[in-house]
Amino acid sequence: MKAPLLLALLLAGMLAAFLLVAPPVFAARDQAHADLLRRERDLLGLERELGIPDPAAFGLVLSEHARLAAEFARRSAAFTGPSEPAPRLDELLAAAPPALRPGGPLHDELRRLARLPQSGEAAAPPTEQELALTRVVEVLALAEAPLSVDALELPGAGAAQPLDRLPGWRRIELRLVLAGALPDLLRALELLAPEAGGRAPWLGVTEASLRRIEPSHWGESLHQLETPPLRLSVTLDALFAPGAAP
Amino acid sequence: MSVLGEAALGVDVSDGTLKAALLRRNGRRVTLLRTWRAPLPEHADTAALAEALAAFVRRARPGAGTRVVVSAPAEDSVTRTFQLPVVDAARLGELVRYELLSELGLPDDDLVIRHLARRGLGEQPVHVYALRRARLHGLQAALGARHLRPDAFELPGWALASLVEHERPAARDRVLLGVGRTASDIVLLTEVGLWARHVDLGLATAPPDVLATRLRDEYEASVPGLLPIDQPFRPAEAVLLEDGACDARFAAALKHALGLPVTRLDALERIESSWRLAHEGQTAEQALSSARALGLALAGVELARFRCPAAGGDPRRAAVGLLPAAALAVGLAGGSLLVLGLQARAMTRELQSTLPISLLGDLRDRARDLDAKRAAVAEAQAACDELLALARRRTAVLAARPVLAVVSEIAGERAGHALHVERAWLDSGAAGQRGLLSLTLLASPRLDEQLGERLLRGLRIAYPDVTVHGPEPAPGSELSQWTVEVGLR
Repeated sequence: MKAPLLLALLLAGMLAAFLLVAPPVFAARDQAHADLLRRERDLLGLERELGIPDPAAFGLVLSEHARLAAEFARRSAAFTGPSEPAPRLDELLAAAPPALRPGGPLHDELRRLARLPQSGEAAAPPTEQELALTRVVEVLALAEAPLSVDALELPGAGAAQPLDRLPGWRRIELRLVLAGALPDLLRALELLAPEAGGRAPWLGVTEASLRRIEPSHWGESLHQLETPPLRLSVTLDALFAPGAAP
Repeated sequence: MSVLGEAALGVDVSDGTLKAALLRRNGRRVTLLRTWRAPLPEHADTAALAEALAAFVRRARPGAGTRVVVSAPAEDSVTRTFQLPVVDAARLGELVRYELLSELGLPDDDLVIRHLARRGLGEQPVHVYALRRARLHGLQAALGARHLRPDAFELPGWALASLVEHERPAARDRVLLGVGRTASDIVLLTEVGLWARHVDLGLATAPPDVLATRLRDEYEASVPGLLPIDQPFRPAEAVLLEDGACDARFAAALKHALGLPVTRLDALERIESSWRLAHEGQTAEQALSSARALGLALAGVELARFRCPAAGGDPRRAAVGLLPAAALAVGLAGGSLLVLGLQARAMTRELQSTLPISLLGDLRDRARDLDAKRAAVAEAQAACDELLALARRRTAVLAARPVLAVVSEIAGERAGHALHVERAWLDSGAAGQRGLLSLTLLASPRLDEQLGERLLRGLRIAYPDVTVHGPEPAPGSELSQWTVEVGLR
């Protein structure tokens, strides 16, 4: 009788242990199943919301980004100029058009805009404004023509503005009004175009306006046209690439 | 039958030698696990026999679930086969008892009568045997005093017949001779009848030739003594078993004496031999010299054709026999519960590791990363476009000269009529927006017919995107006003 009793007790013990231990285990399993269903719903929602990222799409995007980065680097290379320092504005003004020379009507205003030190002040590194004006004065000198500078201004006090679509790039807007013969003005205008490999800052015309071209000798070549003095109004940017700051 | 199979130990003490055979049955598959053999003291009384038997069984160490079947004391036993009508079991018992007691003329209390009815239509053959009650109970009591309570006592002659029917079933008359050391069983087996006679003749009592002759005499005396007069018996062969089957001289002498083909069971055909049997150096011949023990073990595993126990075993021992199965059931139940719990736990872990929350976070991060990459691509594209737009400012300012050159060329054909540029306006454009050079011309009305077409023709050579508007009256003048717009890419 002992053995059957022992077996019955053993079976009862196992049943009791099962009843004590099993419900939490089964509840945990059911909870895990419910959690999995919820995660599946979340996944479907995420798929509807964002779409499941496709590794191929990643690859395409990455390759496109690499291509554009290379293209950007190639195009940026055109805006890399010589590394020697630019001449100071004061050095150029002596040979500039008369209005800009010392004693000229625009001289003092130009120095103020360029933030050049007043007499008695210590020399300072060139500002972006000075660099922009220096580049324009250089171009006017390159024109080698009797041009009259009626205005050379920095709208907005010459504050450098970032270029929204070119991170790190800045621009300073300038307005230039010249008077002279049409061929000289055209040459000056063309010299204001950005030049690959030129020294920073690079100049770029945004708008230009010529008024009343009335040649007395139409039919001659454009370089030999005789015209009364014309006015060329130019709005341009002096562009500073990243790392080109003074 | 247990799912673990059944095991039975058949123990034969009927022929002067202790013999035992252990069989295991799984379905129809029967395996001989082991045999034992030990000498029995000469002229042993019941107590000595029981002592030797108990020690012999202890040596065999049968398991708790192994049925132990012992040969019943067959001395003075009587067997008959009656043809009786088909009646219910209780009535059949009464009929058998009446028939046998009336033939023997012995008191009922002296005998243990058992019968085995075989199916038949109208009349059925009923095999009957009777033992001396005193002998059987004496052996039972002596064994019980030695803590040996066999599960069954079977008639040794019938056990012999059961083995032969199991191994070599045949529908013909046969004489079975189980010749032991001090005693033999003569069994007459027909399709419907079974008669057995236990005689105190064995290999130790006479030389082979003499023994064969005396056994022939006993056989010839048995046929008219046991079988009814109208029951013919024409044996096709004599089957020699037990120790006599291992004695070639005796077999030859018996063949000569009986005048019948003598067959010896030299191999077990439907009982498999275990590896352990061969491992312990036991041969099939040794096993076959324990034919009665094999037949008794067959009765223990319920495969004997003539199973009819003279006495049952201890009910407690039968209950103990069920213990392994009960323990197995309990173990299986416990194991099932354990497996259920482990499965639930494993399923929990699997569910928790499927589609983890971190994966959703990763997917969200990757989607954001892709968006960020696309934004970076858009920014890079915009930066590239902006750089291109800056570079094209050069194209725009260089366009002024060739456009004015065209106007200059046309002016050369004006034949003295008025023509001048009132205003030239240049817009370099921006990224994604073309530049524009706009000219406002004032010309003599005499040039109205040709000037527009001439301007288009001259300018479109270099600038395909040219539009010319005019002539219109110039405000405050008699001249015509023309507007030329040149698109700069």
